[in-house]
Amino acid sequence: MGSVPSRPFTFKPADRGALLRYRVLAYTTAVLLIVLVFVGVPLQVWDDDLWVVRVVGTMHGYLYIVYLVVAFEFTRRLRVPLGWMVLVLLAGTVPFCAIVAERLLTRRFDRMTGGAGDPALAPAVER
Amino acid sequence: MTDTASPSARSRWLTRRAVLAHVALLVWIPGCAVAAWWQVGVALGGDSLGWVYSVMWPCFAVFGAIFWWFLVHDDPDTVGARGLRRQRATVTPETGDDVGPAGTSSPDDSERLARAEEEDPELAAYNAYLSALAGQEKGWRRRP
Repeated sequence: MGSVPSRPFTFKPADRGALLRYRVLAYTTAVLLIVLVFVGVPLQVWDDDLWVVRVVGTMHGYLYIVYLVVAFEFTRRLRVPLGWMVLVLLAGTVPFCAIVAERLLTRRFDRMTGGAGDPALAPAVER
Repeated sequence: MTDTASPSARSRWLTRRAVLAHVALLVWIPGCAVAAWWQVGVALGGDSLGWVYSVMWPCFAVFGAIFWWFLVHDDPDTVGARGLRRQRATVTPETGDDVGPAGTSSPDDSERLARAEEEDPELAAYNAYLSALAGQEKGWRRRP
């Protein structure tokens, strides 16, 4: 491992702003996806009504891209291990999973930073 | 100085992690292209939702490329949970001076770092090495 020289790398702190951005996007995509799957799809199947699927599907589709960017940045700042980072990113496509991910990440944020500030200064050591 | 910086740069692109990332990207980009093309067909077939996904798949491809770039260039010793542990171990000296509740204050990092360096010559050498690397930033950016 020592063969690869370290590149000096500074992290922006995982501040409240980053947390807020992530939470807003997580909840928005989660709610849209739940509406899409549990309202839109049944309407499409049983009532041949495509209106909800078209509108909500479009909104979720574009917002998920924003979610990807925001969640990627936030998980990096929070030093989330790589595998978990991928799961958090994918969570935006599975109903309810984005909410679970949001709870876990918010708890991690509180644990690491004591509520605000830079995790580099946090007392606990994370795995 | 075109190729002298290459030992470190080359190994960066050839670690196991980096090679896995290259392979993943080589699968991911064509996969996204195929999926996007398929959705264009769906959209032309009359389903307007297809337009959304034919925009999204290229976005996913770009995102995969960004992810790959970070994977290759992040040093696992400075990034992520391990990097955090390392940073804490080096920046916070074990001299009992409390950093205080996180977030309430930001003690001068450079000052604490200097104090830690005094106690640990190995750390001082490591940091000197890091700043030397920082000086070569341009060379680092060039592909081998």
